[in-house]
Amino acid sequence: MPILILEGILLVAMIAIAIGIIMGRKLLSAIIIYCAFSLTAMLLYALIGAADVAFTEAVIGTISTVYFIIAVKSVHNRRDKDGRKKE
Amino acid sequence: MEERKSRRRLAAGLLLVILLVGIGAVRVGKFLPTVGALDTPANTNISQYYISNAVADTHAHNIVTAVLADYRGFDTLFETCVMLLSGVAVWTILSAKEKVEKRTDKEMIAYYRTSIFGSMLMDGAFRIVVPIILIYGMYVLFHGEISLGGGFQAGALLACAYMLNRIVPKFDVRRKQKAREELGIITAGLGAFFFALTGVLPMFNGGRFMELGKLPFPAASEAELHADGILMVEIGVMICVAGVIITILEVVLERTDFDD
Repeated sequence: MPILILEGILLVAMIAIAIGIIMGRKLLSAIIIYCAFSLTAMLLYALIGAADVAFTEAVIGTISTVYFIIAVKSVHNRRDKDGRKKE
Repeated sequence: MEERKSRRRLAAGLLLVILLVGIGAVRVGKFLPTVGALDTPANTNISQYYISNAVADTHAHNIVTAVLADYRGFDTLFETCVMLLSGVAVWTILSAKEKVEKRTDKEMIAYYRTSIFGSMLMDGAFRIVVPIILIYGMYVLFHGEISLGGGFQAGALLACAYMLNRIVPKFDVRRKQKAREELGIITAGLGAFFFALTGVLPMFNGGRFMELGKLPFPAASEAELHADGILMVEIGVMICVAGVIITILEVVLERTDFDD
């Protein structure tokens, strides 16, 4: 039974984090909250017993966070031909 | 005003769709077999064979690795090719964009003085963490048959170390250690080729494609050959994954101007 309760807590936390991602004002904070989402998913996988999947999720969650940050930065910094920043 | 109204209508429509899909999923859910029940098709046919024979067949105590690299090796080969294709696609699309013009060394040094990356704290932490990540990656690769992990995770860890190396340390260190994106994609291709070569090698010994028990190496038993083959497959996957991740990182970073 305790495992079921833990699973329930993690699932509710995942839903809450997902809502937090959507509601976030800044893109950067949304990315960091997404990292928390993947961490929670990792805990859930480890709890179910899929340790391999949990490990993959941990590694890929880290890498995808860095990718997202770079992507958001590169979108923000797009410039005109004259070198001025676009609004 | 008009725009806000239409946007609100769109949000309401999307919410309705999500609700309908959710209700449908819940209604369908009760017809699905119970997760983990012993009498479902997933647990009755082939997985019983894997569980009882995997260790004797392949010497791989981690059955996940045995299934991924040996029993389902053909599948994994094409998954690796999909990874390679995604890297090639990103590289092709983004190489149409011009690279950001290089700033002079003086400007870069002045910039990194003000930024948090390249500060003494980050640099020190980086120097401690990266060797551990590299060694852990190797451990994950060679222990993939016994404990967690395998080629994919090892490659991702190596790429993680490279990523830190590219982003964190001081500028004068960083300038010397920059891979070119073409090299990254070539490395990924070589990894996939190594995997395919592992599949072809048994054919010289009278086996079929990916029949790892017929690899032309000296070994005591067929299971030992399977273990060798799994290791080769994982090395190929590792090289391919690391190459693809590094390529995508380099391609995007070369075309990004960080200056805020």
